[in-house]
Amino acid sequence: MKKYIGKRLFQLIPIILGITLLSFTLMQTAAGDAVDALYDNSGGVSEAVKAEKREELGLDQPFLIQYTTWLGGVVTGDMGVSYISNKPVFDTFVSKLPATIFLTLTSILLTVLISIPFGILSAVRHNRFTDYLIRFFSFIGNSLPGFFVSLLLIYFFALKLKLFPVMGSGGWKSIVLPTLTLAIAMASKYTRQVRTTVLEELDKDYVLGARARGVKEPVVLYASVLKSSMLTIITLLALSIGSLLGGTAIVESIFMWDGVGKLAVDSIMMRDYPMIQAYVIWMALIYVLVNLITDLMYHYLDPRIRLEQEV
Amino acid sequence: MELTTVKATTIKIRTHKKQQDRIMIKLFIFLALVILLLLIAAFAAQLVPYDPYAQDLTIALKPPSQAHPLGTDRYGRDMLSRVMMGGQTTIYSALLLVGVITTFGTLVGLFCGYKGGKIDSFIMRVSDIFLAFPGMVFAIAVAGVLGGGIINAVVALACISWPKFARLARGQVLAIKNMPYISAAKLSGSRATKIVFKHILPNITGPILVTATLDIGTMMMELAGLSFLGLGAMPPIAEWGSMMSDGRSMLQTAPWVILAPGCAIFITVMLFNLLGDTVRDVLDPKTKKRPNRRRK
Repeated sequence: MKKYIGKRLFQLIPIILGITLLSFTLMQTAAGDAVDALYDNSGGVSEAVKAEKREELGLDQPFLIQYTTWLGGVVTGDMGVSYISNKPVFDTFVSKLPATIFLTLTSILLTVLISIPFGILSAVRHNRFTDYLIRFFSFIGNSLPGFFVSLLLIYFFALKLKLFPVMGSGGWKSIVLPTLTLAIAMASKYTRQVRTTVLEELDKDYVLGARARGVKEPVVLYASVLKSSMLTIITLLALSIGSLLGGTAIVESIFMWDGVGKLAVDSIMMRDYPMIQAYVIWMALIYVLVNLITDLMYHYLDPRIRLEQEV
Repeated sequence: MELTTVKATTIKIRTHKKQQDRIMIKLFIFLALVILLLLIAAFAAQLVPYDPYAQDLTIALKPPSQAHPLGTDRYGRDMLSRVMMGGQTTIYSALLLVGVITTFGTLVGLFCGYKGGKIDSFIMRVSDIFLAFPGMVFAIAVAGVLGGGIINAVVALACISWPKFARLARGQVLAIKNMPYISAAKLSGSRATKIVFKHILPNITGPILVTATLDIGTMMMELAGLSFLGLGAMPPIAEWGSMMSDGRSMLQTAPWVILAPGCAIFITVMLFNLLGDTVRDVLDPKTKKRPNRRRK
């Protein structure tokens, strides 16, 4: 196991370097005219002032020097200053992160609460009415874009029924609609995956054996089938955190939820490249880390893999 | 005794045949509907009842009526015409996107899988980097850097989506690369390009086609999402995502401005997903295997 962890950590190095280099190059290609954009609204500014600003931001240095200086900053948590607010980018990002993490966690919780029972139910009642009904709804949910769902929810629950506020500004009520939006999309996907996983497990020979020995159906289901399919289900859920982190951007900006997704969208509108850069890199790092932990957990929890490695 | 087994087998074959027939009928129905949709979108400019860009403020924000079945937006533009024109933008840019990533990804995968060695592991590491970005995050950044425009949104999404197809194709190539018929082709003096395109490619199109069809809906939603954020199609160009973004502020007073393009996306994505599921049922060997395992 230790050897495996070491190997995975080692594999991470080129990926992290790649992520940073790619994001840096991307922003650099764009940032050339950032100074022009900065002074666009303040009328005619002489080239000398612009050049001074470029020097201040370090935009006149050669590419590789800029990259290494910047990478050193990333490691120490110094990712430059926002073009707009002049505040440190990293601090701003960190201050908005808890809101996004909170939203992600509530959405995952709701997804688990919806998709696991319905997925199991759908598998147990394979090809019967309940199964068709659940599959029908998960299919609908899969075809609805998140922004349409959020606008529908706002229309019915906030504007017509006045149950929840339109925008996220404090109070437990403001998290209900964004959570629901994210969970609808995720749950539709995971109900199907849970169903497939449980169906595959039910198809295995040991289930047939247990049934032949006269083991009662609930025991077969809860003690054997669910226990062995849970591992796959949890792994799939953990891996979905990534798509969720990216997906929050749209939902956050619709519900004015003050997290990193909204920050990113706002920053793009204002061409605040250091801010976008921080967002891209940190989201990617979080994603890579979550995936690594999931993978290690999977290896640790599955006795078939764990024992094989110990031998 | 013998007779009953024969009978049972006949019944089994017959039900299997019936199932196959049902799937094929489903495939033709969905394919016909998708083609209809594509035709409407393609000839939208000729089919629209009104000019989708003509503004008439005297009839702004009118609810659905006989003259304007889907109502009008805040500039008095006919929603039905705009939804039809928007379909052209949304559907064909999604198809373009899927076409580009499928072709590019498959070519990369074919090359890497067949060639192997250092160049293969280098390209695969590069694709790892693209896969390390969560979902839309990188696309949002690329679209933001490139600026608005539907083509830029397509480029942004293509950047993050090609590795999936490259990996899929590469895996398939690796699985059949060492089969005897490939060795036979090599021995008979066929060149690498001929082997790859004539002997390998036809055998891996199934899974790639299934993934590509299932991806159209997702890509369409992501493209519309980028447009919704203002990172895709730019107004006044009619596009479903940006049309919905346009109607956000009038949600309370004129919900039809959002409902019309929203339902259009929903129906289109659902249709492509249905087609994708059916194509998978037809082509994917995995679903065909299931009854076999049961019999054992």
